[in-house]
Amino acid sequence: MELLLDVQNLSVRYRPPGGGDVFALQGANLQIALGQIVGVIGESGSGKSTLAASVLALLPVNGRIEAGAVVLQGTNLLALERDELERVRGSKVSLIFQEPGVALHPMMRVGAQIEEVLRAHGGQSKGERRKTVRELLDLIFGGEAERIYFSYPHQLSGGQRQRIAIAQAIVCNPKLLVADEPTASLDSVTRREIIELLKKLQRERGLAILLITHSAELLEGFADRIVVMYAGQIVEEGDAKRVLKTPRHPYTEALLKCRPTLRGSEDVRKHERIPVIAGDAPDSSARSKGCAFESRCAERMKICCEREPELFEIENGGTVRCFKFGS
Amino acid sequence: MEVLLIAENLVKEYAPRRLRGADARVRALDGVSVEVQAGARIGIVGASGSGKSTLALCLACVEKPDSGSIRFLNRDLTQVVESELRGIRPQIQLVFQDSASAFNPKFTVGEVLEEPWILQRKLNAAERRERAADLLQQAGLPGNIYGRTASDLSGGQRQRLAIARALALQPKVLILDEALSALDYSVQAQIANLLLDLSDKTVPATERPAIVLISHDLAMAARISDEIVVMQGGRIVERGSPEKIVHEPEHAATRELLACTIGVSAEFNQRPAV
Repeated sequence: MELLLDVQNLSVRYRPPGGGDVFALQGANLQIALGQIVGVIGESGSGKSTLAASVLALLPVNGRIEAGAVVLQGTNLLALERDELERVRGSKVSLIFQEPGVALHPMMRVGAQIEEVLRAHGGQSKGERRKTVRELLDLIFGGEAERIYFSYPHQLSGGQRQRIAIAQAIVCNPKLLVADEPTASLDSVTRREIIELLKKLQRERGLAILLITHSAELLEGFADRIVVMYAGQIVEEGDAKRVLKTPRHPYTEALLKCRPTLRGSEDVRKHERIPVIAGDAPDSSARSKGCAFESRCAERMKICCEREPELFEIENGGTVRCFKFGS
Repeated sequence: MEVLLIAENLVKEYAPRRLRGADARVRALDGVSVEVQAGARIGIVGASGSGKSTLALCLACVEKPDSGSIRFLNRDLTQVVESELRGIRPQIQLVFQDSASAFNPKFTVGEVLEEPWILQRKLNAAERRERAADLLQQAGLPGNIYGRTASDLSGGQRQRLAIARALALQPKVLILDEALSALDYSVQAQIANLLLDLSDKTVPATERPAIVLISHDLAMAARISDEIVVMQGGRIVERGSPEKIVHEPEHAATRELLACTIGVSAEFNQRPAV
């Protein structure tokens, strides 16, 4: 498989105005092959959105890349000048967020707003742009494409607006789409539809996708690989089926258990308490000597508070940051 | 069983503002009837636009239905005057997805909790302080956050505080409108367990609040509720025990919601809890 994105040893630190540095990302490594879907799961504050933003070199002003590189098809995006970056964003790699309504102009028809992206990147006549957008909307909306093209954002539902954001993101045929919680503000039915659309785009256009989410169940049958983040670190990485079925890191295991499912009959009625992760979410402004998850871990050992575990390799090319798998 | 709240044949229409075009009215509720018994746990599920939030607002007397009746302890809430509603509202409490945004940002956790008692002139300062500490404990919050401002809390802590605040006046009915959906799953699980503790059947039905959980998340609703009501297009399309809804769904809307709960693999969930 051909390598598309190679995030190397990336560390990001935030300097909030009130002081107290936040180590949002600590030495993250991530590879995505052409046409591959990688899911990133983790709780709020785990660094997953920072990872997404770094892939487009789009950090907030108080964020600083401390170390590392983001190499997209041989080019380190973090070393590019601003105008070079602007050419890459949208044409090679795009980003969609949780709230698509915010990014759309309220007084402009959505069809024109998608054409605007093409115009910004140049290279097509007005007629060609219109044709490209029509074809894309046909792919995304089917029979409704015509009506959608001439609609204003407020005339569309949340799910339709997210599809428009996706259309804007992929209209220049980027190789990689970074989707940061694209379904978090949608109901469960619409959420499924967006995931199915992304899958379709991967199949039909060979789009690689980096999907950031806190809903692990969305990744089942969707992602090829899963990355689990905790306190700014990647704590587990591996084949999606394997991670969901037999999570190795105690945190991944606990995180997946927090979610009631309807698969087993024991989850319906009975009102049994749901297993929770003991303790509080980590404070990324303090770096501990040992494993970041140590204080909440049910399987902690003596070594866990003495030094930080590295990522140990396990079967099928997966990695786990836990002393259960090496020392 | 004591029946607390009966809504019969509720109809509610909204007239959305349009830039141009006909004034098309949206029928958010179209003949909905529900009954809430003392200590009941009801899950109302449906996709966006199914009318479930409008139902929550009507049950909590925040919105008035266009027609139909809502009886709370045998008084018709659609007929009583506003001053009478003041005595009733504390008994039916509503928690939203982001209830915490309604907290006064300058209030401490203690002030948030004690304000209802001050308004109702119920308790003296020492009693209030003591009851506030009880509520914090009940909601699973550490006692030492009493003096902190609500904006300093984490998302999960704020939502617990919203629930504690809703419990301050010992409501008979607690309505939660997507109160879990914005939270991480690990925090959702904590809040779900809090609701299960509050509604534990070992406590007599009259001494615990009835819980009405409004959600698009059928998996969570099935875990918490004794009865599930499925809504679509302003109507109730199916209702029954969680077992029936999950194992023998009849309506397409129910099956669609079920398909969206596909979770991590079954083998994994068979394993004992960490």
